[in-house]
Amino acid sequence: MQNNESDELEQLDRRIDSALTSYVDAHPSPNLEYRVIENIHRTAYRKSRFWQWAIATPLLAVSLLVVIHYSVSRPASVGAPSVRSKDGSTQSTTTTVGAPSLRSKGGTDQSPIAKVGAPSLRSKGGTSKTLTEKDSSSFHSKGWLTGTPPQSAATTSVLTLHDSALVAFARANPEQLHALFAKTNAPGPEPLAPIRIDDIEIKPIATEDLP
Amino acid sequence: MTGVAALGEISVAAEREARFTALIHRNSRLVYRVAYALLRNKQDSEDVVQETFMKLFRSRAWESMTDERAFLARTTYRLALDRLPKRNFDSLEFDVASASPGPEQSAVSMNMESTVHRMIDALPEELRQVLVLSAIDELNSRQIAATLAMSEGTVRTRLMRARQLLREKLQRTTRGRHAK
Repeated sequence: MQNNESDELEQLDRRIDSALTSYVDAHPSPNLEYRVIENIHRTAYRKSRFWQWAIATPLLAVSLLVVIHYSVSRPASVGAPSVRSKDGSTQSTTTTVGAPSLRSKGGTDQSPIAKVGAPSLRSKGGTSKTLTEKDSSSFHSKGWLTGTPPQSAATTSVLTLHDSALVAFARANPEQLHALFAKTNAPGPEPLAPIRIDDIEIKPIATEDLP
Repeated sequence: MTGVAALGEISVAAEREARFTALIHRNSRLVYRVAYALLRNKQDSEDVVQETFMKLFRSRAWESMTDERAFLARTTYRLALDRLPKRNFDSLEFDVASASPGPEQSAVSMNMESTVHRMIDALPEELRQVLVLSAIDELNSRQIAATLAMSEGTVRTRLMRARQLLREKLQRTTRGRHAK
């Protein structure tokens, strides 16, 4: 009787053990490990990227400062100063050598000197017109090319249409410009010797001999 | 920070990552089984595995652990507990002598193994946890005690009690079958 009870208990224990084994016997998805590792990698990479940026950012900032410093300390650029006219449009005086295109209010092209490089100006009316030699001499007579630029040009940052045309003309004709400057700055004649006037002797007037 | 120091930091991180990857390979199955034993749900268990390793990697606590299995089982157990649906333990406390038909009675027609599974599910949670953790080969009684934050004596007592309850329920079920 006791043996039967013992056998029964043993059998129950075996059933329980068997059921327990299957109860906890579970297998994760085959790619679970790799998903976990991938997540860890992503986290670690995010952290290491922080250090990369920590190095790169100051380097970029220094490089930028150097570039700005050099671009500021360079002399005024020889070509293509872009100026904005009063109406807000952009004027490029030397986009191409000899033929800068200037755009004015009206959108017309104006070329200061048609034959030489023909810088183009755009006027209010939307029509292109070409400046003639006469216009050029008019500029010249004002003395703009002889070292006496108009005050407005010197004091304001916005160039007038005429100023721009003149600059364009000057760029298109450097030889002529040089000649003009040479003429203006040419040394004058030798300074004259001081005029020396010898002492003049003036005798007293003799009145005895007068009738 | 100099570039050299930063590179050093990166290489240390890479070395740490490699060690942690090895840890994952060694213990991912154990972590999964502990989670599954408690949750009995494949998707939830995998989420707990992810969460466990991510938490460990961030905390750096794993670098100083002495018993890695016990440590991992403990961490997994705590995270799994947060996901465990709140059970009304009182309702699951079954009276062995009760004649009223319980869940085990309705499972008579099912095979014996699934009947035992249902009986295990019906155990009080503190007994069930000890019982299922003891069924995981990788954990000994000391590690189970560390996982559950209790003494080994308590683990042994609860384990005996759980088995006794199962035996009695199973015996009653078997006798009921034979009587029919």
